[in-house]
Amino acid sequence: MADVSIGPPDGDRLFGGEDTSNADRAQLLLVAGLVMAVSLVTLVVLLNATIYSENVATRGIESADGEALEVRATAVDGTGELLDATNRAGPTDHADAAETVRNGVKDLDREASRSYAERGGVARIELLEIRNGSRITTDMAAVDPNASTLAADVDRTRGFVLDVDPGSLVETNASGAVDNAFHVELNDSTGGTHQVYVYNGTDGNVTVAVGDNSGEPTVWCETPPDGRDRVAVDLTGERLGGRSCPGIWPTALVAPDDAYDITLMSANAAAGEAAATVRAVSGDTVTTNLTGGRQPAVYEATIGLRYRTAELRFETDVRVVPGEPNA
Amino acid sequence: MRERRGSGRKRLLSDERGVSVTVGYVLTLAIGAVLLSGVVIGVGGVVDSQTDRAVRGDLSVLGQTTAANVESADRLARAAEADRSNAAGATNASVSVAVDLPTRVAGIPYRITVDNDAVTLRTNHPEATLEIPHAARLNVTPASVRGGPIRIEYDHGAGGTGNLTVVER
Repeated sequence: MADVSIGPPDGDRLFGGEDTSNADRAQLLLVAGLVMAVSLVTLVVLLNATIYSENVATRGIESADGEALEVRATAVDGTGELLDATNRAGPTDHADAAETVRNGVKDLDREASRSYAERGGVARIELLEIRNGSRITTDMAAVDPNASTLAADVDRTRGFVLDVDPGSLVETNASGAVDNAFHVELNDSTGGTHQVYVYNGTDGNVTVAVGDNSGEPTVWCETPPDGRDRVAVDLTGERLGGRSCPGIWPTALVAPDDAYDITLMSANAAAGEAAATVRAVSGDTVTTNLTGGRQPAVYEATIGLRYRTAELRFETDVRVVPGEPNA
Repeated sequence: MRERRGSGRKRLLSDERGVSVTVGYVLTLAIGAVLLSGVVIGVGGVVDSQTDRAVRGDLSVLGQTTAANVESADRLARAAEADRSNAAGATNASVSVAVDLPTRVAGIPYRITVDNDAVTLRTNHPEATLEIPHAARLNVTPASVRGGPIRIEYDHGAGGTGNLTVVER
């Protein structure tokens, strides 16, 4: 090893004795070189650490995050479509409807498990609970022209859609709608009545107006008929002719604690069909004047949803009620 | 002065240097030491400044990563709360996101502090602090953890919404 100590001068080391080529004077250069080499290595390590960190930063859990939301959407949408399809198919009784939903959720779970296992995730969907109700459909022509109770003593309604013929609607304005226009009356046992009127405005547009306690309503939304045979008024989905129309379903009846009645009024002022899925405040079957159009139905389902990957865990129990008004 | 071997009149006459061997040796050492000191100080300064830059750069990257994961956990937690069943015996809305972070930046340990508004990363030597705002809508329980692998958790069963919590893994 190079001697870097400072001692008494040694003639042989300094001058190499008789042979000057043996001189030993490069220790300092060696040390300087060593210091520079170590410094450069340190710089390189720092540079690499920074590059590595920035590289790692471009990764993350974004994809896993998206997958968990995708699993949830798949499960909720799939179960919602299953409920609607089951109800539309006209089950013989509530037990038949529940069995169909139970089998459908099992199929959905099997498909989701297989699909997400291929991507390195574990997905699990299970049916936890079913709440029964009734699906009521009717033609306006079959409804009492004065008043007909579509559903009595209900506490939840979803998928309440009026498919009306624009040509059949009475032409009036907001003040005349109270007496002349077809409307739906929602009789809240604790909060008075709410009316939703559907008529042709004086400008020819299909108009939806909202009022309380049979007072003069406020025009809420309009849509031109554009030659359509039917215009959909989705009361619980709060849409008119496929366009958003927020606020037509009374806020007090989104998640009420008490029961309310749904009545179709002045049904001779409109032609078309009405359909709703409702949940009785007690029992499975909803009371209605339109017994011919009442079918057993599944109102809602609660599913347990689990999704896991190496980095992420997502668990929740979701209440699936397609077409229920948003809180 | 020590007598050199083989010295003599001939050697003395042929020696053309104007200083003694000792002085020459000391001068050589002094100049070498000054050069070496210059190199050490110069390169050391570069290393220190680069270390500082690397620490700040790494803290920025890790802060962004942490903030992004806090926001991801927030999205998942809100999705878990949406339409959650309130029936008796229903499972809590539960979300856990694991984040792999290094235990040191440029060889220096650091701490991560989170609150409702931002993620703050801090080292002591060199003293560096970096604050990255996040956009989580749920409340974040204020916490300070050692830099390294962390987990962002959410577990809530009652009405309303709960808090996001950051813990060490």
